[in-house]
Amino acid sequence: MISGTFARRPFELQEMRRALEILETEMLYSASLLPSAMEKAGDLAGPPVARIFREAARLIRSGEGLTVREAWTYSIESAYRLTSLTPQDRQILLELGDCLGSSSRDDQERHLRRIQDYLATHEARARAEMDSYCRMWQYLGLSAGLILAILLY
Amino acid sequence: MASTPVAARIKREILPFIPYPVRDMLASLPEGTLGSLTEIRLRAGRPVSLVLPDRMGFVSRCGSLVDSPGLGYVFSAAEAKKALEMVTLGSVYALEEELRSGYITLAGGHRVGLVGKMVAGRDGQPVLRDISGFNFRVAREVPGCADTVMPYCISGDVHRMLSTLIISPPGAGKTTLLRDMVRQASDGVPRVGLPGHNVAVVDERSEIASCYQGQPQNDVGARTDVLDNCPKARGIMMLIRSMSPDVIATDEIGSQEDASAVREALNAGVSVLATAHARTLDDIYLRPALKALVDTRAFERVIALGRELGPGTLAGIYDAPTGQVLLRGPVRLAAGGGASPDAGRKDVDAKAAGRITGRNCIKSCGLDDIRDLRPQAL
Repeated sequence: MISGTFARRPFELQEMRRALEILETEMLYSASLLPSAMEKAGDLAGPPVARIFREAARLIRSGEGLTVREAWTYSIESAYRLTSLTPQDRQILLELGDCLGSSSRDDQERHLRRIQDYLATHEARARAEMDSYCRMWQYLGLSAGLILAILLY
Repeated sequence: MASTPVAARIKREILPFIPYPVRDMLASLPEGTLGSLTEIRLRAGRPVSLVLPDRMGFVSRCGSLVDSPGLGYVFSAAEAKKALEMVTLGSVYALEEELRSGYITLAGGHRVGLVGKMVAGRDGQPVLRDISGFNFRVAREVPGCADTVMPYCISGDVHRMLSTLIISPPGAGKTTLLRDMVRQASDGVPRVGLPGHNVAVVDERSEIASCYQGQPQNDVGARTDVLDNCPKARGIMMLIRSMSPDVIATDEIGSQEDASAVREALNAGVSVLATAHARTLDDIYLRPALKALVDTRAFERVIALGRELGPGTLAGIYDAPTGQVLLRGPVRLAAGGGASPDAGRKDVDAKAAGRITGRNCIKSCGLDDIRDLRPQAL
């Protein structure tokens, strides 16, 4: 369970970073409306990240009177349990909802880049943690084997 | 009770962009009232205001139309912020150009006028920020409203559209009439012998075709190309070169630059349908660019609209080069070519006499009171 979380988190952070890159391209260079840009990002991302973007796009389009912040928050919160992201990752992603779509292109670019930088940094850390975790279990396994061998002889 | 078509369109196409609880209040209005709304005005800190063809009012908390502003539901600044997100689908970054122009077009062709604080944008151009006022203008096409005027705007010999200027004070239906003329010129009008033409529309303020993401939301005909959100003068030149149109239509000409572009189109053999703000024919002569166009006989017909019988009242159709009256109003233009009985009879008589075109309209209408377009002083 814990080892699964360690193994999945870097891949999910990477997926999220890639999805935000697609979102940025769609928003800033294709000038797509936010729901369309989110759908595109959702189509190209793997689960469970795809689910976050598709759900947010659906809620914004629904005409139920939800703001982008509300739609984004709902999507993150409902998908969070299915991910291996940490509470800190979740908080950073939620912060994006405060400004997503609601300001000029320059401003949007700044916010999206900041989140992508965070994700890149934490992805590298998560990979390092995953490697050290794996190495630790390898050493533990080796040590346990040695101890067992010594005890047997 | 089933919704009227307009009420159903408002519920389907406009109310989803209005935040709760105002949306519920508007949805609770009687069907007849909702269906006849022309504008819904939301202003932060002030009561929600409604405009109908014959009255103005406010919407109360319980969803009824009231005359006193004190009884109206007050729209808050927080709701204004939410309304902006809903109108832009959370995409302010993608609609900077629209925010600069001060309006956004919704699917269905409805327009949302915006006011707020103008600030300098990235490129120094002013951009709207802190948007506090919204005017939802209900789009209404009136197909057939040009039926009465079309016979007067067709050249008899070569079956082409005559260059026509539509003038009226604001809100009298210039753009609605132009839109239907565009549709009819594009599709053709067999009953008066007009074949379909390639029509190009320069829709600077997205009012004629009401494009939403590049697609016309109004019926502008099968052979119509629309250049949306493009300055008129530049757009006319682009279309002459790129689309080889038979007819170019544009809204609200007035500057010298517009006049030069119109003249360029006419020199290229393209007929021009255009509108201009002018209360009376004499007003044209107070605007140098329009005066020059009429003086140089650029336009062949002038259609004057007024509000005598409400929006869409035809005040008269004039032969621009000679100033002769071809049809004298007031005639109410309505969907399906409905007109006042008197004018309708003239029209039918004229049609019975054969295809109505240019000069023979004058005879068929039996108008002997010919007046000069131009004031004598000029």
